[in-house]
Amino acid sequence: MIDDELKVSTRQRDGVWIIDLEGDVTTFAEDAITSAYEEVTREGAKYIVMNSRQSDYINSAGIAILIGVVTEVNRQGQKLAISGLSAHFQKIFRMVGLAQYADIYASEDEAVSAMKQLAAQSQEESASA
Amino acid sequence: MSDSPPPTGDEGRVIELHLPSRLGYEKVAMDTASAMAKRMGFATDRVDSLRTAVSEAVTNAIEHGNQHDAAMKVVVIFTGSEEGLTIDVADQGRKRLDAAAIDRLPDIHQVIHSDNDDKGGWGIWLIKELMDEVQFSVAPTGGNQLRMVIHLDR
Amino acid sequence: MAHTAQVTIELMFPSELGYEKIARDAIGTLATRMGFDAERVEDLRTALSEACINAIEHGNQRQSHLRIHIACTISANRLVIVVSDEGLRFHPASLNEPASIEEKLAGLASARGMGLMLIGQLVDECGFLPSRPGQGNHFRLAIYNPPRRNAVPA
Repeated sequence: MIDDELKVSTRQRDGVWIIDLEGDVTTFAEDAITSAYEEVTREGAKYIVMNSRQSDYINSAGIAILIGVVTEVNRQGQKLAISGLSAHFQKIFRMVGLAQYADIYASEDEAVSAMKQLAAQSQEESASA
Repeated sequence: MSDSPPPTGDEGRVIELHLPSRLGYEKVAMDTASAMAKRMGFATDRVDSLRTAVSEAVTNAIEHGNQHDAAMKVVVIFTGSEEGLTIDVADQGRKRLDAAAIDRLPDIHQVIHSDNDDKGGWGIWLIKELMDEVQFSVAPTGGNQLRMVIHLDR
Repeated sequence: MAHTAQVTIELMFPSELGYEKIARDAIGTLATRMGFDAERVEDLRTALSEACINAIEHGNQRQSHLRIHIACTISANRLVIVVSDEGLRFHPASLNEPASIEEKLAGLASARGMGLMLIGQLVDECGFLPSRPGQGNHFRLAIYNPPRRNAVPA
């Protein structure tokens, strides 16, 4: 059948939690994405990268799921970055306004190093405070 | 498209696609649209915009117009011309698309700071942002019809 | 999503060479989305093109106002495609039926035979469905996942 196949997995890299999305991000992705986010949050994730790999189909229902995650990230005082989107979906995310709440990077490496920088800044701030 | 066939009206030169109202099948419309657009010479970013617009329109027809009733069809008609590609998406209108849904202008700040768990409603807005022309009407079958046009040379 | 009943998608286009490429791209992508591997999708693309060209050139005699109709029936492990024309030139033949004298004289037999023979080697099942003059020609082809190509005929 042509049902969606989305693989969602989580891993840690240099203190940053990464949620890998592989496949279509549509309404069927809700449970998988939400539970991956809840899982890393339980693990104490402060800095999270949502990393899209080979997702050539993200629709408005998928965007709504990500907005839901961003809403929760805001409430929890976490930071979220999004990486791996094609040029088209980077554009769409900017149009929707998601980029104002989650920084968008072309690659996972860029996202992770930006998140590490944020983490170091916040450590300095709390040390000097 | 190839050597001269007998003359026909433009209305004959269309590709028509009938899909069941089941989520997932909007991808077939999306792939048909991009197959046609690529062969018509649209640039990659325009093809991507078309893919998103078509998938949103068909998803809307499945979910809203036909209320997920798999027995109801979504009819997609692709008409290519020198100027561009016109795509009509029609459902069987179990539920009429109202003006509020058509004119809705979602606001990310409001959505993110609201307690409402429904963060959706971006589809029609996206189609209007991505396509050159968008029209809403009543389909010959009595359902909702959305016509979108994407121009060549843009 | 539950794998409920099989689902049918229909695609219709004019009998003009060139349109079969859109069908090939759209349905090839559908097969990919169903999980068929790249090589089998290539086989299907070629087989489908041949079947469409046959319907355009032979069945509908390139009368572009006549439509080609493709029905794709999708189930968990199988994609069945029926390519129908309007039977301007009727051909109830099975794959094994030898060419008629008229066809041989018209030089059609060899080209057509090649196309049909090729299709037979690329898909798991194929052949004309029973039909009468006036009902059009209906050519059916099917691919299975996993393949049945080497299955012993029942």
